[in-house]
Amino acid sequence: MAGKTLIKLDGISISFGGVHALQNVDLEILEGQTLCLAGENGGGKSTLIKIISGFYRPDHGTIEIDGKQYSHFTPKQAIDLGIQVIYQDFAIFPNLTVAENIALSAERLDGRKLVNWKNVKKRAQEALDMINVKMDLDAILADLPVASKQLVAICRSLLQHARLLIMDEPTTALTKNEINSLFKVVRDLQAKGISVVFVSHKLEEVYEIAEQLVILRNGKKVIEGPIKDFDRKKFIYHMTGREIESETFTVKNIGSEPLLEVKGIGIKDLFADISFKLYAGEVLGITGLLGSGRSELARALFNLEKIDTGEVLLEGRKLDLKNVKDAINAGIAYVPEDRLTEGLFMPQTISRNMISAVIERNLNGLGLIDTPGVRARSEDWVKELKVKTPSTELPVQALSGGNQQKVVLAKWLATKPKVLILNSPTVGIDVGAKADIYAYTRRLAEEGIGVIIISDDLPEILDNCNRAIIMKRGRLAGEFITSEMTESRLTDILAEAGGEGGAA
Amino acid sequence: MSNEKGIVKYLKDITEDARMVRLFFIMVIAFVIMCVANGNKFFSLSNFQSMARTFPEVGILAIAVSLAMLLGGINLSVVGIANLSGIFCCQFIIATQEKIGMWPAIIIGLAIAMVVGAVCGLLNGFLIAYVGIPAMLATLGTQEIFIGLGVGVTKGAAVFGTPSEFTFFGGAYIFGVIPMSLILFVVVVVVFTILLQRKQYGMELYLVGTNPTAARFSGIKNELVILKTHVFGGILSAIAGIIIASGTNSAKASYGSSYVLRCLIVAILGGINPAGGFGKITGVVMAVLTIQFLSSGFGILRVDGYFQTFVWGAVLVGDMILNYYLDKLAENRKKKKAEKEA
Repeated sequence: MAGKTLIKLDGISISFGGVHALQNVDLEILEGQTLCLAGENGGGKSTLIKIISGFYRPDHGTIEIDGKQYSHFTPKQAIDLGIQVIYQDFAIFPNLTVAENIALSAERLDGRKLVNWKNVKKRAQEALDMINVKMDLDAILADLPVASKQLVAICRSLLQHARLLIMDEPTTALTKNEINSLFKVVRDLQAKGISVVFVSHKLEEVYEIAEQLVILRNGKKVIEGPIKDFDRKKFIYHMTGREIESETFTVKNIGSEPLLEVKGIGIKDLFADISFKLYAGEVLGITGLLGSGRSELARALFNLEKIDTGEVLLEGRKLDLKNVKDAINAGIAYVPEDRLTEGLFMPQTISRNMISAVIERNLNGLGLIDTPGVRARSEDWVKELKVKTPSTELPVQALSGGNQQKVVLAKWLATKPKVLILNSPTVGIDVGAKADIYAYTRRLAEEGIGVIIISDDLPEILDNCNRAIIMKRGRLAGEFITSEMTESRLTDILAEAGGEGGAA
Repeated sequence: MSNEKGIVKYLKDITEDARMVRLFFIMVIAFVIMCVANGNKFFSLSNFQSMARTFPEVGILAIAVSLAMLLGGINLSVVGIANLSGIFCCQFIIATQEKIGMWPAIIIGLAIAMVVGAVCGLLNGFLIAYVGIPAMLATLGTQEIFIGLGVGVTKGAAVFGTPSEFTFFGGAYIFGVIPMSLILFVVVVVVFTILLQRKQYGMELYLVGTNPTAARFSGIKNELVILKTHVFGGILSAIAGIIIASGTNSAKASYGSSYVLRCLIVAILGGINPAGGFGKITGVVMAVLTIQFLSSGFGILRVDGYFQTFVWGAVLVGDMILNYYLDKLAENRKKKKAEKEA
């Protein structure tokens, strides 16, 4: 299906503050080609996108589009040439309607001084028709699920005469069904001769959608070729530069009495009548689609939300928690879903982040913060969890996603928990860091901590938990031993009628 | 690194902070320029004493504003609190000094001032933390309330008639040389530096100011941190109010109406990040000294007051431009160095 060369990068290098973000990278994208850009975080994927879209100017190297060479390539030129990027946050206007979001920038592109409102709706509808999607044009974006926001962003690009659509990790927040419909849209675009660059590190998706695969590691292109030339092992090897072994988790020492016992808890309108037991040494999975109540349940266990009914017992004693601090002191730790907004203080130092949940346990005899002690303990955590950083006094935002997540983990392990709840612990982090985090949770379980992993990443649940429960629409919908379950059967169970949660 | 202790470590921390170094040089430059321009009139004990009597009141108010800014908020009511505390203090002393004796009246009066400040701060903190009003609107409102109360209590007139002993806190010279207000300022600076850099409260303040959501997830009681911060702000304002009332031996609801903006300038020049989470008391101290050097220097030169205001603004804007370009320069230099090595 691929035609002639649309864009050709030659020997691109760029560095920031002495760090080589990209070194001598060549890239060629053909018309109508779907190319996947893979690589661990910090590998240079985002930088490469920003060079293609004219946002960064490379220190060395040339950019050629339609056979014409550009030395001063600007974002404006990129847009004029039909290069469109859909970022992870979509850059949409949440307070405007679907039609306005789709058509307003195209109207502006036409150089109109006044907006023709009739035209706006017409054009928005045309764009939706192009990708065969039905949507209410007058709906306010903020009220729509993530998947719809993404489709709106795609439609907007199409109206700006996109010839190359770059999607930066587009499936992160989508459910399985939504991913399938997104892939259908991508195939339709391809049929129309539009090239797509797909940035991802989820292997399954890459195999499903990509034709050509380019892998970046440490700012260098390590390999390129048609996707059919890559098996999983080769793919992971080139991405991480090392062999990753994965074996399923089996319980070693299980406690005789339940560590955590949840009896019929519920919060009005969120979830109801949830009961389960967690034994020390276990890794329990909680899965369910977005809106099934899985995150709300975790927040309730950590006392971020008050339960209306039921009770929770820890080591046989009924918990009466007034606030989050009580939960921490009782021995419950919660690694939240979104490390950027909920888990970390991004501009603050690594050591500060690591003690932020237990500041009161880091005071010296005078009631002052024990700075040398804090530094020493943070350095221990950095070693223990293999956080890649030259110093604990750097801001967390200087780290890659996987290393940031390790800092969140350290922060919660510093509370010396009995029960560790991990909500979507590996979203947006690379294979290497993922393996480190899984290995560590297993070790914790072996040491007698009860671990709960909440996730909609089914392989994650199946490989790392010994037992799992399924939630649907705020209710318990089943429990299974992971070794007796397959991924395809679990997918079917989750997708059964009524599986989609109400709120997204 | 970790075996360095106490003051050495602290000094190292400030010098490591590039912005603090720049601010230090700006302060020195302002001082040198004023010495050169005014000669002996500036570089003299009497001028130093007069400066040391003047800047503590703005300095302490600026620290109160800085605390609120570290939370990502602001406090526009510090001057209102200072004056209201001063008024209650003076009125109590005048009303009771003959019945309970002068010194008991003064001491209880001071305590009343602090309580008034704390209560005002409590009101600010309550409105912001529990009612959920943005700090700017809440303290804009309470500023008007505090001024209004002050005017109501005094009918707009200055409160006179405190005994001359009351001037000790704002006007006396210890050993005949060091103004009492300077000593109060130093005490405030030391106490709050320790509070912010070494106490649990300080770390919680920086964390809440950086990311309130993550703070809540970390078990920090955000509301309590906000409440405490504004109570501290209120007490600091009351201390400034005592210095003002004592220095002029009177209290007035409309005193220092231009101080609010001056405090903001000092806090921002001192490197307090208005978005919250970053900034040090040390910076605020250097900023208030810089502003004082310029004020006194221009005062001796008999420069028009409007020009002084202009210069403060120019220093602030100039400092921000300087920071921008120096950061950029440092980035480029790093890049070049790395290229050479490669």
